[in-house]
Amino acid sequence: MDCNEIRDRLPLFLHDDLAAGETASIKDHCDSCPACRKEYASMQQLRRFLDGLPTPRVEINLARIYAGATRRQEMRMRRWRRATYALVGVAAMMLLVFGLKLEVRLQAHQMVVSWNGQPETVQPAPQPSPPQDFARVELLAPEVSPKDLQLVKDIVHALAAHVETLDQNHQGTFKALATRLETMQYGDNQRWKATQRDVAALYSVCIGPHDKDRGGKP
Amino acid sequence: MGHPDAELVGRWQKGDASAFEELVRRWQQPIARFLMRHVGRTERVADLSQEVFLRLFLARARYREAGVFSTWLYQIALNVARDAARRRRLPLKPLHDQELPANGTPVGQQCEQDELNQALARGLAELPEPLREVLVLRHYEGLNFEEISRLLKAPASTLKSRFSVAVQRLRTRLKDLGWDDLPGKSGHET
Repeated sequence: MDCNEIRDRLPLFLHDDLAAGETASIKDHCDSCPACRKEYASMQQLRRFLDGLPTPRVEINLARIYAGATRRQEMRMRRWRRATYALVGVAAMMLLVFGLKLEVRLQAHQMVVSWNGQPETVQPAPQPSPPQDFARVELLAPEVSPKDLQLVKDIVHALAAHVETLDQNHQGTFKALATRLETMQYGDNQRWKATQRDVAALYSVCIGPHDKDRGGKP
Repeated sequence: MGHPDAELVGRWQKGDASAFEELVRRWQQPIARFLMRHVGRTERVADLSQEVFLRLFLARARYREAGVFSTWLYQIALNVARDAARRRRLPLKPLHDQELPANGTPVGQQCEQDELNQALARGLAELPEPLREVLVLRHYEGLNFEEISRLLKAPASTLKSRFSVAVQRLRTRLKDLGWDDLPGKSGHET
């Protein structure tokens, strides 16, 4: 290996990340090459600098974690509920369309809505005899068997039951978290009161009694 | 008896909240150190660490025995750091906001150390994210290249190259900032 290759590997050599053979050859090279030895010393110096970089002390607030988790669970549940309502709405629409055999017909100057196969004019044409049909769109629902209808009903009921179960599970989780949160808050309050008592005692020992005793002997 | 982290995670998954609290106590400083080196801003470290442990809490059910807990946790921390970097790019901290080294150091030496720390933090912050990540994970968190490979989803050989380049670039940057050679701090150790 030449000097450039050695220098490329020095960071790995410094962190013991090379194979035994490579490590030995770099050691040998550094012993005989003053320039690479200087480079190695410079790397060691950098490593010491990096080690000396201070780190801030951090205390994780567990109560905030529990409160945040509860909030996010609630948001997730709300999203679930919305999705389920949308799904149920779509299922209800399908039921309406297929169950009632809804038919919408657009004719010249009028729209015809009918169900159960009985056509009904919603708006009479203003002219007794229209010149011609401009557009004709027909949506005719296919025949649906009672078995299919029952299937759609079953799906809706199963979805509702699933949401109910999920809801109950999450209610249980919320309750457990809320209880833990309360316990922690109670502990915090107790510690705060104890600190206040300590500070008051310390104050009276170091500074002296409060206003009511002012004017007396120190 | 298995690894303490795995045991704690097992207890936590069975509903023991004190096990989670113990995990937080064990890992809050390493995660803060990782985020500090990655994000480079002291005042954001507390909030980002909080977010890491909140995500950890929410992901309880997703942890599997097969994985190493530390790798999983660093993965979460890495995602939080990347999200934070994406949200906004902030300028480097001014000198007077940096934490001072331990007491008992002469003022001149303390100022010199402070300036060096700032230059290092700046050099780290200026490294491209892929280089900075591998440098921080290898040097500060002591992860080996196999673990980093699993975490960053890149081959170990690529990561080794990145690590060498990161160290070389950082050294060049420090030289540019005037930290080429410190009296009494250089030396050759074999």
